[in-house]
Amino acid sequence: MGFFYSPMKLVALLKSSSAIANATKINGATWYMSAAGKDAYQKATTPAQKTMFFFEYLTAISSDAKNREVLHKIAYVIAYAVEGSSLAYGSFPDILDPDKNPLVGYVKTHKLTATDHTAYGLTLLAALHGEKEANRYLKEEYKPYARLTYCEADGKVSDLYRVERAIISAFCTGFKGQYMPPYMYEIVESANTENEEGSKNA
Amino acid sequence: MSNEMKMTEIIAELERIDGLYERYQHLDRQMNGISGEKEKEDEALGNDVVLTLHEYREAQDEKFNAKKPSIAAPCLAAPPCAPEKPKDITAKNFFMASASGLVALGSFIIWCVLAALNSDSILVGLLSGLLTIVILGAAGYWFAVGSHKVTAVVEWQAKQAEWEKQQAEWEAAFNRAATEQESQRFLAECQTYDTAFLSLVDVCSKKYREEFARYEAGLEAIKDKYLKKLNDIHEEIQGVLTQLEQVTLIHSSLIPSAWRILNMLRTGRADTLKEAINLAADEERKDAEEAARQEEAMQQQRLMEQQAHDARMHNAAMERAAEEEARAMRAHNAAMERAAADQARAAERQAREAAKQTEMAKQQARDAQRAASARCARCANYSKCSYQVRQNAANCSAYTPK
Repeated sequence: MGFFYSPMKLVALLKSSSAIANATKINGATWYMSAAGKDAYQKATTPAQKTMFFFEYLTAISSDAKNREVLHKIAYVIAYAVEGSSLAYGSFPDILDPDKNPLVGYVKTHKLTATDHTAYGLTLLAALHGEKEANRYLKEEYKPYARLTYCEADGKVSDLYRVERAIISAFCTGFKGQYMPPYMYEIVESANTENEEGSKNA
Repeated sequence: MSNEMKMTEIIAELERIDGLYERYQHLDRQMNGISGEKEKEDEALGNDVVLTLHEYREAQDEKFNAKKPSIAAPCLAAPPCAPEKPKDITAKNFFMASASGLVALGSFIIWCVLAALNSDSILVGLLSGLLTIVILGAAGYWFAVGSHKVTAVVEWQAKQAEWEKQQAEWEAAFNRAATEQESQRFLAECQTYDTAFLSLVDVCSKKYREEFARYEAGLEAIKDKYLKKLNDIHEEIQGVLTQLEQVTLIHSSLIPSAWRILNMLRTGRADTLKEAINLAADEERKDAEEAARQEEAMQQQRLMEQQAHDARMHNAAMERAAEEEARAMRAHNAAMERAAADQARAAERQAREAAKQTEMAKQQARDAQRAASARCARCANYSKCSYQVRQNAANCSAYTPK
């Protein structure tokens, strides 16, 4: 700690008191919803700036802000696939609303203490599809691939498709095999499930 | 004579009942055997179908070579960690903090100038007193509060500048990677992967349906194969059961004991059917009790054997533990003995070293004395010195060469 500073330095600090106070202010979750937050959102134009904006917002609302990697990946997915999309929560301020944007809601309500990123990917997909059972995205017998959105016959992809694939590719990469969750298919188990479902329908 | 005849008929009827019952049991065993064989064939067919499906899937997996879709690495790299912001900094309190430092410094300089003037003026004295109060107040605030805030901000600014550089690099790398072309590449990879995966699912599902049809047809064939055999036996069992149901000589619950009753009558242990039934029931009860006793005895025997085994294991474990303890103790004692022997050898070595040192010291003293005597003999004053002085030649300072 220093006690002695040059008068010039002190004068410079004195002059920039307001700027320093603003720069050192820690923005809470509500700030992002305010006019200043909206202004910051609009000023973020490049992919990096958008990702950084969502990353800082998620850090502000998360109880496990230390898990920067996971928060950054979610921020990337939001900036890449959700922001500007035609999804109901694709624009400001709904994109930041935990009750509307399921990815933001996930960060607000879940502890991010696990080390396995695949688990985050599957629970995020479950949240995105409004389901509670993340297991259904991992176990072959539930035919998890059938829950995903696929591109249309003319090759067009929906916004939900972009979000799903961004989540899968960002999080579900820990598997060494050729297939990664939720692309899991076991020929006998899956076929048995088909039969069970068929008999139920019948 | 008529009684004997009647008894002969009863025995003949009992023999028939016993024969029917044995036949029934034989057919029942046969039926169970055939059912078991059918179940085994069903299971073998199921295992074969599952194995075929797994092998097919493995072959398909080998053909599957779609690349996993990937996002550009810079996009998934977390941004550099920003320095922690100093807390409780407002425009007002930071202004006060910086100002206190400046005021204290400025007042101190003016106070020094006034002191250097060394004036007797009342005004200068008042001004000096006032400045002293200002210096003390401002300096007190600066040292107690202001300098902490200013230092925190200055340190944060330095770290922030470094972070901003790293952040700019991160943003540049991110923006270079997150292009529209990159996005198109990623989505194209996703579509290729999806197509390949869904094709795999389709061909596997088709194969499964084929194998399932084979499985069902196989089950049907096995069922047909065994059905005739089972039907024949079943019909025969029904015939035997019908005959057994028509038995009136003894109650249907006594049919399994018909051989005992028959035995009583044949060996003459009973004179009437009723007596034979009672004796047979009694014998059956005794046999059951004996069987229960034997079972209990066997259980006791097993229990005792288990206890004996446990005791043997326990004793063996105790013996091993004792042996290990003894071995450890022996090793410890041996180590102690070796240490004592080492110490004794070291002490002996030290004593020898000390004796050698002493001998060397004596030798050096003798050599010194001899050299001094030789030097004394070469001295010009040799004849003038007394015997005692010559003996103390080593300390002589009056040496004069001849």
